[in-house]
Amino acid sequence: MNRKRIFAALAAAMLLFSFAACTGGGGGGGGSVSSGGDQEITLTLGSDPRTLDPALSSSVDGATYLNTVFEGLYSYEESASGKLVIVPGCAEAVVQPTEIDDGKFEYVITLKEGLLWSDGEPMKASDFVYAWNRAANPATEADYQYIFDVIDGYDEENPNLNIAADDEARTITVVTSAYIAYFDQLMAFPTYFPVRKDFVEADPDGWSLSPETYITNGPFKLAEYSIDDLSLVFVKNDNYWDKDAVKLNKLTFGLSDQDDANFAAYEEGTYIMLEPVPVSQLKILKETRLNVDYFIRDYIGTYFIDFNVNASLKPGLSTAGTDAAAWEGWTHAQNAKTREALSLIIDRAYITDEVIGAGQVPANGFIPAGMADGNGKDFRSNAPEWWSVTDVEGNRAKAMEIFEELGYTQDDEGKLTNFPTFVYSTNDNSGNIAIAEAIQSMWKDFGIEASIDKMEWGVYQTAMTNGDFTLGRMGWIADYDDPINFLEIFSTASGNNHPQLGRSGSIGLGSVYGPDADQTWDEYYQTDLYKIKTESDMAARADALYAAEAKLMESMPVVPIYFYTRPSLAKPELKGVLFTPLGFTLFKNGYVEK
Amino acid sequence: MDTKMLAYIAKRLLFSVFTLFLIVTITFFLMHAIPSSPFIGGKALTPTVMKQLEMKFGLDKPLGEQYIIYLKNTARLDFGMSTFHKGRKVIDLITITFKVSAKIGLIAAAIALASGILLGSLAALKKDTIVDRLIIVLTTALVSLPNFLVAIMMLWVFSVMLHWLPPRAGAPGGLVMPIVSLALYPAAYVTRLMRSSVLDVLTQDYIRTASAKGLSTSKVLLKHAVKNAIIPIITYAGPMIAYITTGSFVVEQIFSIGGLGNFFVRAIQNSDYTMIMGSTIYLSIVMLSMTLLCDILYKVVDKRIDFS
Repeated sequence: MNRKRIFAALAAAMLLFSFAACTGGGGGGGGSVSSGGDQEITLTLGSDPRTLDPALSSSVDGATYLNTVFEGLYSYEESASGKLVIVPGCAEAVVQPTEIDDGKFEYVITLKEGLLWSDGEPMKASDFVYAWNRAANPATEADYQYIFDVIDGYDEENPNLNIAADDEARTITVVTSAYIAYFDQLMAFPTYFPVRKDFVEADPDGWSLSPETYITNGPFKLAEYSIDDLSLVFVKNDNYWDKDAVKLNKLTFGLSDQDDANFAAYEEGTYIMLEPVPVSQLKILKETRLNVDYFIRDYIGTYFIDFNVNASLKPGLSTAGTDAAAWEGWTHAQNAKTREALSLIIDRAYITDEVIGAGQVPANGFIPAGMADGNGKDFRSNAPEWWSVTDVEGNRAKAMEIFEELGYTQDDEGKLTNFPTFVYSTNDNSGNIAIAEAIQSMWKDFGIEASIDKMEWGVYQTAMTNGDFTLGRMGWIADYDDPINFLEIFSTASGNNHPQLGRSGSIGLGSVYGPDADQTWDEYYQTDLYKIKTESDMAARADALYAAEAKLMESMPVVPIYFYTRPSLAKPELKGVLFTPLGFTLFKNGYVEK
Repeated sequence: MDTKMLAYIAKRLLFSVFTLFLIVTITFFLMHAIPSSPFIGGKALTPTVMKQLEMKFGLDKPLGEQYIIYLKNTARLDFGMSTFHKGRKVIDLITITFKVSAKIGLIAAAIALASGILLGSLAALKKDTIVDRLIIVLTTALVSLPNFLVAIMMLWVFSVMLHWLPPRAGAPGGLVMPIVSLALYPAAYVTRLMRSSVLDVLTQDYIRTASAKGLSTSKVLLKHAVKNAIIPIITYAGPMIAYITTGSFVVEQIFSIGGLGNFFVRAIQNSDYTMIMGSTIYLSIVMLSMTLLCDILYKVVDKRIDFS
């Protein structure tokens, strides 16, 4: 054999080998064509959900998966006017509570007749009671344990929820500790979904990982959950009471958060829908494909900066400080004014239009756009505009007046000369860093020097929770459509009370709030929260909601930047899918139009 | 096998175990030095739930005690439950995803080695011809191109523009692009290595002797030149195979492959303590075994290597 022959033989063998290898590996599913006439779709919501257990899930994509396979007592639908409304799910009807003793309210909810689990077993009222007790029990380790705190008998360590089931009569009786304006929404919330006691107890950790044990009661059921194939497959549940309304036969979710790959798979046609949309594509999509297959949907949420109220920004300090010396001759009210002036310098429209460009709305208050006030009005349109989002020059002039009043000095160019330097903390996500840099440069124009500290998410959260920061960015997406969900963040005990309001520290615990600076945060703010959580007269309750936001905006522990939107790619042939402003998506009525 | 070799293997094994122990210890203390908790990240948990979670994962115990428990469990390859993926055992996650990575990696490594040895030898034999130049230019380009770029370019060209191949690895034919993008760099590297090695060997006396004895060119090449030229390739192949079979994060991400590389990086992003520690140890074991295996292979191929 001469040299040429050896190479030819080797090359042929190599080719054959690589060909066999490549075709041999393609056995897995997951890549079906998105728009088949068989009503099967392939789509993605990002990476593997942490869990599919309704008690443990707390993410927005998790809520979508859970709404795909489960149904609560109540559910959501879109009204003719495009509003999200509560409708009966497993319940026969949406009921009104009756007041019992001590201002408590009782709900008696009857299940529809003949409801079945996906394995054909009959559903019982006690399935709900079991699920709620389980999720509220600290041993279950639910992220949303506290969402049961409205039910009478709730206690973080030893809950004894005032709920009862009558399986014969198919009724569930729930007693809430007060009148809870948003309790209907809670009964449509994933943590309130029913679970199957026998399967959960047989394998408390692993029951939600395989189709054999993940028994559900919604429009679809789990068919395959594959880690190596990175896909989650749901098929139509023929035991669902409203199965005739369900048109899709199969949903395959790709589980990857790689932006380029996801976008390519969408453009190529594998995916019929893609969320979240890669940040790098937002601007170009908005210019070229808005409302064709790119949509900027409503999303109830606020992006904001938390200030640590214990950090003094007194003029003349070299850096912001939390020690007693930093507060000498400086009051909380003056510090709050300083924060207000810092807020006024920020050009929010620049951030939404130039830095991100996904149609976000510049914030003019804390409660986000699109949220109802529980009394028939849209909260934001009915609340004061705390600053102008268009007149940036006017805002900045006002800011400089405030700075002057407070004793900050300026040089000839109008730059402050004695503003302490401080650290702007953020998690190391490119979007958040870009926003931090934009704000940093806006402040720098006025002589205010902020350095940016980027941290890994877990480390960042720890620092924020412990009050180990001066200011840092945060975001909040509504769990349910009621302003209390946002206002409650700043209750003293809240795990998200990053500003340390009402907590120990140089000022947090002090009687420094209110018009006469003689109230503690609890006396000043908590009273409104209490009223909001117990008042059954919706007009009076709404008044308390507006009052609480006003107090927040006057004390300025938080500087709202913008209201979120939900950029979303979906091919025009995908119809009937309900994209809720709470972020999750309902596929029950979805279908592919041929 | 002679006793010298056995002694050598035993020595290397002991050394590997000691290295592993160091890695296990360093990983443990580094993870505990991070000023964060694996349970902080999403929703703010109630203090009771937080306490419960810390108890479940043994994080409430003193550090020394945690370390002892951890050593004991690690010795049995019991890495516990993932702190992120609720209800999943770390060892399950690792074995499922390692299988995926190893399958793709082994194919890619085989292609890389075969094509590299072939093209490298060809280039050496055709030294200074157009074939040689072409191979040099091509391999230089491939060695300098980062594989995420190659992967993304392939994705857009063959998937989005031409619709020849599916973008997700799970679909039929979906493994072609990930395998090719994994194989390109090592293939180019092996080609260059092989070329210079063959050139080096061809000037050796024994090759001249073999030719002078009247052996055919092909026999000289196969029996003497390639066999000796391949030694540097073995040095490179060990770590390369270990690296490639434990999963390239980039390629696995881009082609949506549930491999170990992908899950390891996601574990870091999600502060998945147990998964980070488990996969670090697992990867170390694979890496150490491959290095050991290669060292033994030298001896088999080249009797001149002395183990004493």
